[in-house]
Amino acid sequence: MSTATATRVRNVVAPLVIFVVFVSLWQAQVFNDLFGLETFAIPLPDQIVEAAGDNTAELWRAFGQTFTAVLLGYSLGNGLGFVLALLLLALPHGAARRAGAAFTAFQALPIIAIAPLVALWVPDSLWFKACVVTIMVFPSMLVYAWRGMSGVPPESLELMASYRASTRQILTGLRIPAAVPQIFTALKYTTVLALIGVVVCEILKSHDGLGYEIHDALQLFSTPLAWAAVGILALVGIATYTVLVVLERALFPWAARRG
Amino acid sequence: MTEAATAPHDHGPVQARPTAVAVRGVSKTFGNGASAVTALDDVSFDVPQGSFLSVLGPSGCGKSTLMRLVAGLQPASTGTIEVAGGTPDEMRRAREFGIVFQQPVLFDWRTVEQNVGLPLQIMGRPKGEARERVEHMLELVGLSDFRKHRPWQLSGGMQQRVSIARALTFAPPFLLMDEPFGALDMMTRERMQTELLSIWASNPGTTVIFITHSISEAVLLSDRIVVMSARPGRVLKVIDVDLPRPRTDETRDSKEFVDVEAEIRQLIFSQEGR
Amino acid sequence: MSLAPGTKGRERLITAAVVVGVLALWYVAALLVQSGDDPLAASKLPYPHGVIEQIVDNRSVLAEAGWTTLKQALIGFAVGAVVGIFSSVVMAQAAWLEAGVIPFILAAQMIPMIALVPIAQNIFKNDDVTRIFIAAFITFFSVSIAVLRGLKSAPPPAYELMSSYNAGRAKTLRYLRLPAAVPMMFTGLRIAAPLSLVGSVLVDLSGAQSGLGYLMLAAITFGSEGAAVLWGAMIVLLALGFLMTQAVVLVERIVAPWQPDLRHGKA
Repeated sequence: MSTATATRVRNVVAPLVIFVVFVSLWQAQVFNDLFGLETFAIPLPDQIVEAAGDNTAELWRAFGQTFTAVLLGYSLGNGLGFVLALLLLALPHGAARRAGAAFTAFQALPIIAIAPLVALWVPDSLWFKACVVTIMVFPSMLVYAWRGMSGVPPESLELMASYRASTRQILTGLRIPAAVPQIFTALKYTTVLALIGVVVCEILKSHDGLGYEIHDALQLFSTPLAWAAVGILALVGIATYTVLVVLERALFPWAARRG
Repeated sequence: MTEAATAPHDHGPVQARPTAVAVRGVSKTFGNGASAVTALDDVSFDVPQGSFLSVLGPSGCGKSTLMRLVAGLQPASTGTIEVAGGTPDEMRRAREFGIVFQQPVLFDWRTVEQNVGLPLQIMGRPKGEARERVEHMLELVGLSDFRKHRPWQLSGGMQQRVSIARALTFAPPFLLMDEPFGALDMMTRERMQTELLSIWASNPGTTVIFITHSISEAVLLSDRIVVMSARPGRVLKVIDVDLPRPRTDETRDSKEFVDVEAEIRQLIFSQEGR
Repeated sequence: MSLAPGTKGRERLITAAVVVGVLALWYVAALLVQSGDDPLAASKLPYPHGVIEQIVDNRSVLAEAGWTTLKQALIGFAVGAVVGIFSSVVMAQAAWLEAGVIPFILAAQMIPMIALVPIAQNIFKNDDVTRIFIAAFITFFSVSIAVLRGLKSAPPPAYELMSSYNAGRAKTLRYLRLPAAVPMMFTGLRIAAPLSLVGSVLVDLSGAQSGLGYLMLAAITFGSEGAAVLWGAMIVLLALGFLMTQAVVLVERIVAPWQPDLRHGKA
């Protein structure tokens, strides 16, 4: 249909136009003039790119430190959340529901508040970040995985019972596949949580990673470098999220269609 | 606004009444090129003034599309539709159509009475008049005790009654219904059919176009049935049903009823065999 | 949902048992930690009564710092919510504008906005303005994407219905799209509430001289002397986040009791 094609073209062209206009205005110092700020407060795009080019090695090292911590905490947190969801499944339903509700409330807390405390307990920079991320990430995975696994229609359970399926078979053949969309929702959502956790830790205490790089560069009045680090963090966030979306579509096309 | 002078139960043979809706050689194609799908192909029929007409056909015969064309919600690809001497779009702008969809499409954020009053509010009718009108409609569909309820607190049949009340609240000359009882269970459905007949009887002059895939539903309700075939949707036959009115639950057991039903069933099955 | 009185009593009993169990575990763990010779033990894991004592003893300090952090978070939250709702309604009016902006708002969800805290501090040179800006910025993105989605949430027949009443763009917006967007809007607000507080706290943590975050940072920097306020500040912060979310839920119950998650009493 021609209108569908028009929509598709619009969905690509409109963001591009906005992006180009935005960057051009920025480069032309329109924002600086608007807010009455010098370019050392809001650096121009070409300055940022130049700063990134001049400090590739430093940014690359910082990225490695940040990303290792993100990956470690993200894997631990999501793994822990999933295991706890399995445990919750083994509890009697009433107790599990209450525990689930408690963890849902947990999600609404500014968990990052425990970062200074974790810093006391875990002095090692990498593990400090990973621990904070684990604590931030696991409730989401727990809640989503548990909802997905416990929310299967009773008819499906009755069907499995009519086959005399074992608990393990019900888990691998019904509950876990049924929870795939929710598990991926949690996996996607927690990427940004993990990044937030690591960046907060780095700004707060660590002396490595992109978060510290931002802080440090600003102290040294190299604003463009700080902005470059922010830009890299943004790209990391978008890239990890996109990878998960692609993975989900490739591995579980039936789940991605529903989600 | 057009209004028939005759009483609803006694308006003479349908053939003798003036035409309210004329559908002439209407086709509707979705998409273009190789992926084009023809939903309706050269459909023609007349809807007599103040009559009850059903469009009967299997799923995929484009009958819902047909209703949307008449309602001016979509344009026809070819052919013409004349509604009360104008185009469907003109009549839509003149607010001549009350529509009931298969899903009740009630607004969760409004109470039952606020849902029924929605069209009046949008049309800017005076509040006092609107209140009276809503009250009357709720009484008519038997939901006066539920006026402060929210839609989701009602059963499926009650929700659809709210939807019918909303469609008729501004007294449109045309009532268009797209499989309104399709999502209800069989018993609720039969009760709703006879209720619809009595609601229609108390809104004299209203011309009804009713989309359905149930033969018995079409026979019980209609003065005229447009029987359609699927893919592409074509008119197989236009049948006038002259069972006496008022029709009640007993009508379903009468010999005439069963005969008309059998005739239509044979017509459809003989088509499928080809 | 109605529980039999017996069940209700039993549920209360279980809750009480869980609370007592957790407290008991806490005491045992604290005893183990404090029996060592770690000078920071009092900060790492104080006794529960010690924490309560801390909060009571430092109530004025905590209240002042908590108010500093909360006030700016609330202002930012309100500003971000209003701007987010308003701009998404505007965006939803022009298809090309919406199509052009949506990818950026979506991408914003994947980015750790918190990284902008030092940048914003550097620009504004004012902790209060930075707190408000960050809280507003984070809230804006959560709320605007939620409202944009909500404005599109009505099913196609609802639009056909409005069309059959010959309702124009403004009336369709007023009677259909806006009310239909309310549940999604509250979802966005609920997500944004604790995040705006986190944004505000991070300003404290990264060099501000006031607020709960500053108290916590001071506590770990000064070692055992500061231990007194670390746990107190942490618990006040968690409680504020919880209360902020609950406040949003409360407003939602009043404004949109018809919202699917809040329904009860099917006839």
